[in-house]
Amino acid sequence: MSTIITQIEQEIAKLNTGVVKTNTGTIISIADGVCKVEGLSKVMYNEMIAFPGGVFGIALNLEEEFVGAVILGDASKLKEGDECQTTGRLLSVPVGKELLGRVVDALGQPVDGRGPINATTFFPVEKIAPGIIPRKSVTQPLQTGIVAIDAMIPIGRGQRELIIGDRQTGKTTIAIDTIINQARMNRVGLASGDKSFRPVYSIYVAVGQKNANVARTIETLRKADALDFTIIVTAPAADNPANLYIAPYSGTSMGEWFMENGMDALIVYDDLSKHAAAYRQISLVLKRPSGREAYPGDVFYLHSRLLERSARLDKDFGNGSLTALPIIETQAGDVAAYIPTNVISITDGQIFLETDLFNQGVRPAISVGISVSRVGSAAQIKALKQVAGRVKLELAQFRELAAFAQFGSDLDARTKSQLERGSRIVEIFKQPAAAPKAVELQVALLWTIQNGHFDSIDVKTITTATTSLADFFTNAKDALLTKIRNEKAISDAITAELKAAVAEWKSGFTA
Amino acid sequence: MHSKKAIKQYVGQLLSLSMENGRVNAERVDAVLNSVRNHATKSEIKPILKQYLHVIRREIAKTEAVVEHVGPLSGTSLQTVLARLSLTAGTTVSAVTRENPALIAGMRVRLGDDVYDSSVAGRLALIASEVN
Repeated sequence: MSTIITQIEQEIAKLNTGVVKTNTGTIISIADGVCKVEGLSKVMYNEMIAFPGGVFGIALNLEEEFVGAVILGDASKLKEGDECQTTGRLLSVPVGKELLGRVVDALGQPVDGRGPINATTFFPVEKIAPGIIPRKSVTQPLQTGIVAIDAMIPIGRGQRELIIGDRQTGKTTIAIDTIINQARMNRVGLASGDKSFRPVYSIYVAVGQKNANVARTIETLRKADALDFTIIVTAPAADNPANLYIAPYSGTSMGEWFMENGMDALIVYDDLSKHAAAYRQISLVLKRPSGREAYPGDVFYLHSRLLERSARLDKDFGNGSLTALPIIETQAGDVAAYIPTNVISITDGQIFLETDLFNQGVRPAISVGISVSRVGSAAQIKALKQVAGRVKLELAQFRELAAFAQFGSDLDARTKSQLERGSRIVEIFKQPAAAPKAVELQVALLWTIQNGHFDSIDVKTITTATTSLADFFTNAKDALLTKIRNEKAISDAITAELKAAVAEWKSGFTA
Repeated sequence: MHSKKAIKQYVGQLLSLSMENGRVNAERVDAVLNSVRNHATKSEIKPILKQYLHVIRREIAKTEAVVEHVGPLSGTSLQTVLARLSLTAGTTVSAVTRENPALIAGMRVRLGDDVYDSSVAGRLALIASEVN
């Protein structure tokens, strides 16, 4: 009992017992999670405003006669005439490793029913992105575990790579597979005892998603044992637009904590189309002038200031990184719409997913022609470069030739062989969801196809052959895979071992 | 003068005519009202006067402190408070006093948007927010 009294006494001692000065205002209108407040003459832009009942808001519009604010949380109890006051604080969220494995809302409050989060550090939601001096070029790869991406559109730590495509083309699946692969690599790396190993922590921000979809994603991550290295920030479709607007910034603050403390983090924004729509809703209710597609004039800044916060920091600044995978949903494959072009221009490349490919069974449905990674190739390991250097070009040529080949059957031998090789590459890049492949295995598989060892196998059985060969390498040739992983390049000795291993597998393989 | 913007601009000019030494002057306000009555059209009068009332209220609130207290308030205490407020506001501040038992003890002063709270109720609310 005496401890309780001491605790209360300490709380009281901490309080300022003098006169408390506050700047107040009165709600003059409230609708759709946005209110107009008269007064608050000393409020600052983006400052938190305290409303009755423990509800907070953020000042977004500072006008001559009133302040426009978005309300975070339950606005149903607020009414016209209610008094509110400034807090002198910027909106902050809890950050740190305590959040790993947890599902939180846009304000960092737990929503997974697993009790409070004992975080001791808080970061402001809005922060200025790192400048030029602290930054460093992308040098270290971030393996997604998806062969098509790691081979042709490699991503580096600190890069911003957009995942773009129509609905139901597998955008979220790519992001989730990447998170699963980070967790898999973290477990292997931490178990190896290698002191130079740098784990990658993931943050998945669900903006405007259906609760059922978020639950499914959590279940997928849990089943893949990836939740322990992941923070999930959720602002579902039923949430008010203010929370949808804030959620990506909250997630970024959580990722920045890892980056600023010398660690590597990956953040997925799923998706920024819904984020832009939520911001448009807020802006229209605040009566801000609207522009193209009714978006406000600063919708570019909305995403540029968010994505610029992802960076690779120099050694003098901790050597941390924050890699971003923003997702954009297009309508009927239109990448030239307003929000897609904005985000394409901000990011360091894009992975474009095509509905036609998806329906043809090519999954992941990556359109090689218009997918690009502007900086990631610098971070690709040498072994992958050795085996995948020509793959992108070969695949692009195959797609062109395949389109022509539909018109006639008189093809020369060279074209036929290009088509044969291309169709085999397409098959080898097919990969089921939640089954990322280790980089050394990717190298081994790509080496096999690049050296013509799959040429004698029928195209229809390539998928079976790939699975069989992958199992063979994993189970029987683990030492060879470890050698590739450690040396990160294909030496003559490794080539000889690969040749022998593939010959051994082929002798026992029956389709 | 039908647009809101035009009315606001016009009322802004009326407000500057109503001020003397940084305070709203009753005689000037009377003169402004007469002028509006004589010169504005019938449809304009109501929106102009509504906006004028709004800005005059706001201006008065900047120089007229509302002092809420519990129990008797001595003249000396009130004068001390007003002297401090006048110093902060940079102009002479007058006071309107109100008895408010909900404060439990102490005093709460409102001047414009600023609230200075030294009441027990205010401190309890602060403790409640700290504990939560």
